[in-house]
Amino acid sequence: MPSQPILEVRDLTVEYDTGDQPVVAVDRVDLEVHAGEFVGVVGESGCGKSTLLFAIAQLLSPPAAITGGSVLFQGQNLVAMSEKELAALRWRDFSVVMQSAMNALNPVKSIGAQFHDAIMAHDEPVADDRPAEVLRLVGIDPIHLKSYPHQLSGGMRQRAMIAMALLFTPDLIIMDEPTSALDVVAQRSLMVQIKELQRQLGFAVVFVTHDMSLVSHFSDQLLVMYAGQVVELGATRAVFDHPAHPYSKGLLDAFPSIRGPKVPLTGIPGSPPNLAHPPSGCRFHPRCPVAFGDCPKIEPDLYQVGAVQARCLLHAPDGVLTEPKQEATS
Amino acid sequence: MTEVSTDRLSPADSAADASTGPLLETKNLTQHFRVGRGFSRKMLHAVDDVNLTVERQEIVALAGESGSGKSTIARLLAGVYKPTSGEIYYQGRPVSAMRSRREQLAYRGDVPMVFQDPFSSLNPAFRVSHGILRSLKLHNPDLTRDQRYDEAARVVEQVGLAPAADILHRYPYELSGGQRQRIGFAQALAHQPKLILADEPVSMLDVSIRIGLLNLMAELRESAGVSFLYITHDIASARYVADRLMIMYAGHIVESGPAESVLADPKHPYTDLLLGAVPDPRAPLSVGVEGDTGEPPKVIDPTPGCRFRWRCPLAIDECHHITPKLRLLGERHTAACHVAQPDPGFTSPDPAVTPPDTGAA
Repeated sequence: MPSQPILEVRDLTVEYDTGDQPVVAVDRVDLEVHAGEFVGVVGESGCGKSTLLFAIAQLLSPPAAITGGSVLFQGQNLVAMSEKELAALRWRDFSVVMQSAMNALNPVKSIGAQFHDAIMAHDEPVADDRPAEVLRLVGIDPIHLKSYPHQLSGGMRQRAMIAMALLFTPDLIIMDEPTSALDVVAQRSLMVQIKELQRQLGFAVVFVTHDMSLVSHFSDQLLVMYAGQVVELGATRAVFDHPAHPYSKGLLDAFPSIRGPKVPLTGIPGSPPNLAHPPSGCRFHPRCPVAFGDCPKIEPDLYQVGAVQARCLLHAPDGVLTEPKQEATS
Repeated sequence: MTEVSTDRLSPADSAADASTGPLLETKNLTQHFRVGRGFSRKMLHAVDDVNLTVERQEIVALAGESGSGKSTIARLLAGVYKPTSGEIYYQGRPVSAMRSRREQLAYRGDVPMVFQDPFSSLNPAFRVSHGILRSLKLHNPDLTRDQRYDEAARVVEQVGLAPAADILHRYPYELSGGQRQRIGFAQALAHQPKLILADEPVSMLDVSIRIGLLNLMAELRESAGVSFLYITHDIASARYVADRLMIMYAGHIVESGPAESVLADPKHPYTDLLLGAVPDPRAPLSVGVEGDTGEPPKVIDPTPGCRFRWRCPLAIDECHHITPKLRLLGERHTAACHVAQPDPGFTSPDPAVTPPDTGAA
């Protein structure tokens, strides 16, 4: 990696204090984002991807709390910052686009008034026509500064959220499934737009989604999460071409194609584990099609597999396993 | 299409059962909504002149963007709205002629609906069994309490949830999204339906569990002999389960035909747009929709002309003045577009006339 990363997450651990025994929702996650990079975070619901994102943005509320690790943003540790220090950074240096724009926008305030709020929260001078300018950037007529959220369609609301995130031209935008409430056409056009804005303005993106296919053409790095852990990490193309972890492979095979022969698909049977009682050994072994004898016994590390890293015992170096493994199928 | 094997019919249907015609058919189905009041009263055309058929044990997909009128069709078929004009024929009988409560109940039992959002379509205050048992009581009043419970257990197992007794005893919050949506299907199955209206049943679910529900639909078609009207905006999932595909835009059916031929050889530029929007990591990034930030228009007091013309890359002068009609352009394949060309070598009997829906083989 050539440059210094603008976001460096080290050993980040988030626990939910549930009374009897804390639930580890994010388990020692490492993540690096460089300037202008697009990082996709994928996994099913309940894998800790949104919790990770909230932890990065310091938006967790009890009972969730960061219990270990650091989030270095432009060299400053966000975890150790006070709310006041964070408020200065938010919107200006990094912003967050939430999943449901319907809930994230204030229904009784016009779009323009909400933009104004964000501007007033900072000392930074902003040109008067900046709100109109950012709306134009995302392809909305500035006339909608006077509109209320309910007057916009789902796609436009989500675009307005992104426009708001761009007010101060931050270096990093964190997005939590911004497209999940949209239909495929609106979804595609939003993705293309985010990518185009990124090219123009040079911000970095951390993009959370459960739909792996969505980020396939847009992200540079891909982080696959399962049960609070990173199970695969690497360049997007490398992960798509040769998924090293059976879970990534399962996610990839979970959606039908519109081209080529029609093949029966199975998806991934079962559902993610309850994190209060994660399975022993590899957390994916109860659902894994290629699990073998050691999987329930040994907890795998992230191993280097070609260009990617994967948390799977199939790729464990010599000396880790006690039983012969099956051959990797990929 | 093979005929239905499980031939349970409530007494009301058996007399009218036309076992030869399509299971369900609509003729010029139209739904307008009034918007505004007084002098600013206008008509919103949600669904205009829709002819569709569903055969026995057939899966028909209805695809289009948000706001194209797909869900309005489902609600019309489910009897939530009374159509502005046009008629729905169920097993050859007009639905508007079913006036007695017994007939309406029989129709609703035969054509139930599965909703989009499994998080709000189940009552959180009751156990899972509640909804299933209640509809059984309503539709099969002859069953004893024990029989109803056995029946509920049967449908829960049929949708792939086990152990049934345990599942029936749970509350909705104890189930995952995929399990809840399966309960939605179980509720629909409880009255041994003929046609399930599935309104975006998987769009709220994780990608990894969507396929399980799509497979379930295909299984139920075989095991329970039901047809499906599968409403979706994801044309790839439509291809995966459906025999026939209908594309909808701004209240009109713009293209219809066997799923494979519509996707392999789309006639309407809107179908091209939908196809281009499907993310496919196995293929290089397709171009064509990059500049498209449009949405289906709200069709208020429309003037003649193609409703897609503002977004259409191929629009010609004619498109602004004449509303295109569905023309037969290939084997059972129709499209409503002035520019679309018929398959090479295909001659329609009379391409100028709107053919009846292509479903009737």
